[in-house]
Amino acid sequence: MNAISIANLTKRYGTTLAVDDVSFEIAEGSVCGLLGPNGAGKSTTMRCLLGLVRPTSGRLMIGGRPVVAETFESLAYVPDRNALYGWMTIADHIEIMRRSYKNFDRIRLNELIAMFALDPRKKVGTLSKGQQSAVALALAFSIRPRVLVLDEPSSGLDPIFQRVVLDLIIDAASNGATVLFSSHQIGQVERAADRVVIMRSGKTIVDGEIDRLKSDEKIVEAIFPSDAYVTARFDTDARVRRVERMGRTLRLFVRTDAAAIAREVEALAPRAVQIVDLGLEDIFLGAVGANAVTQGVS
Amino acid sequence: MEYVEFLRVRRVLTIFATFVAVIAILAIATIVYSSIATTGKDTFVIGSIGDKSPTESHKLSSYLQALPIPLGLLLGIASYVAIVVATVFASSLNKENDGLDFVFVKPIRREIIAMRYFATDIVGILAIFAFTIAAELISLALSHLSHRISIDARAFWVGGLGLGVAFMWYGILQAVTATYKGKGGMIVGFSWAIFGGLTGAGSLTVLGPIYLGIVRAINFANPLAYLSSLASNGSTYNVGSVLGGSLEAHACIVWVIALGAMAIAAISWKRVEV
Repeated sequence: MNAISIANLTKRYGTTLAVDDVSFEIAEGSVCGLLGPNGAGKSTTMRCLLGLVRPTSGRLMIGGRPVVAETFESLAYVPDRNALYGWMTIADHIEIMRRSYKNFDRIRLNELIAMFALDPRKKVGTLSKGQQSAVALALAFSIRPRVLVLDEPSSGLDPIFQRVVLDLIIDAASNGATVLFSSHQIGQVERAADRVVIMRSGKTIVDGEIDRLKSDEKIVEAIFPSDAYVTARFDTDARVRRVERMGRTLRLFVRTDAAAIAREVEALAPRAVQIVDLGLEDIFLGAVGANAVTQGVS
Repeated sequence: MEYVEFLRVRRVLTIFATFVAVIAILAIATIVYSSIATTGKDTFVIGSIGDKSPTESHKLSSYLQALPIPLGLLLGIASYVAIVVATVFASSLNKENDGLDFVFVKPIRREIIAMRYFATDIVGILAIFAFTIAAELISLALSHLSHRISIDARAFWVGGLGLGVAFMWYGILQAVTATYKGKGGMIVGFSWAIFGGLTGAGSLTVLGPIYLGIVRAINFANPLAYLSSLASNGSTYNVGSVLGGSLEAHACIVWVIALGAMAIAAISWKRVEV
């Protein structure tokens, strides 16, 4: 059964099309990373899913049902900006959670507060951005949610706490929770997610399991003695989807026959040739347009 | 009870109670000081009487002592205080609009959340109203003036009208500010100028009957007009010319408008997008 189902979601703000006919589904217990450059429509998609923004059209379901107030009893959302009350203490926020959620787990919350080294007596407004994110995450995980929607959850956190957040996500998924999270850090998504949705300009451009996406292509990478090497022979090769030239390095994104192409590259007398697996970063850059992101690509 | 609003209301009540306590202490101190300067056994001088002779002063003091203190006056004063506090609380939904990512993801229907905010604010306003009346009564009792309080049946209608005006003002401001992000405080501030201006506009009789008819119609939505049209002459209450109609009718109208405005605020707030 799908825990999250988004079908033909479109959201317009006046003449601006923020989300354009987006559809994807996330199976129960799965972790889905939502990637895309700024303005791709990731946050709007999440807010539409939670009913925080009214979609122009589309069907959105969580647990097989449209989102209603009761849905939030077992759903946690962490927005990409601080939505907590700056004038209130962390303890006050804990009290709000205790009063609002039947599933609130005080023991779990205390663990999380200790894990993020937070002082409950402090006012949220006096905390750093990272600490505010940590408070929001601690509160979110304290209800032991079945569905987690996290919009850039590790934003502002230092590398140690980023790791903690990833561990929390993985731990929640291993206990059967479904997670949809967005991040600008592709490595985090690659580590925690089993599937990825990549958005650009409000559209879904990649949607699939990360392992399958990685196995779809291989990279043949060659390093030449100097950057004076010239080869245009692969530009029109049907087996090669994309050619990247960066100084002395040549990278070929190969759909089939990687071994055969590697042998052809070896004939050009490079210093080294290797066949490497595609990384999520390669998939992302390939999808959103590497030329726009990577400098120095000829 | 909405916990966030409870904390806000508690903070305002604490500030208010401190303020009223200071005023009450100052008032009592003034009365005690004045009583030391008493020229007769049962009279005391209130303030300066300038060049008046002791005999005239004694007569004035005796006259003031004999004046009844209508209960409606005490309720009216408490109503004005309640109105001031009601306007402070009136942008509570508006204040939440900066953090809807947190507010709207609770497992509680949004209209119920709004109702909880209203309930918390209403309890706060009632507490202020009751606290003010208590402060008035205590001050009078300490001044040995309690026996001069005159009670008549219509005084309770005045109290009902005064509280209704506070809730009407509160409801209108909630309805106006509920969908805005920010600007709540500014709108609350402007409401005093707008309602005050409209009330004043109703007294410009020289501008003709058509103008007065329009202003009068608009003033039915003006909470201040209901209070300003109320005049006290001691123990009876007259409804002035701005709105016309009876005290009882006004007391009912303001409550109906208050409840209607709060309903509109709740419905419009639940549709606010993040």
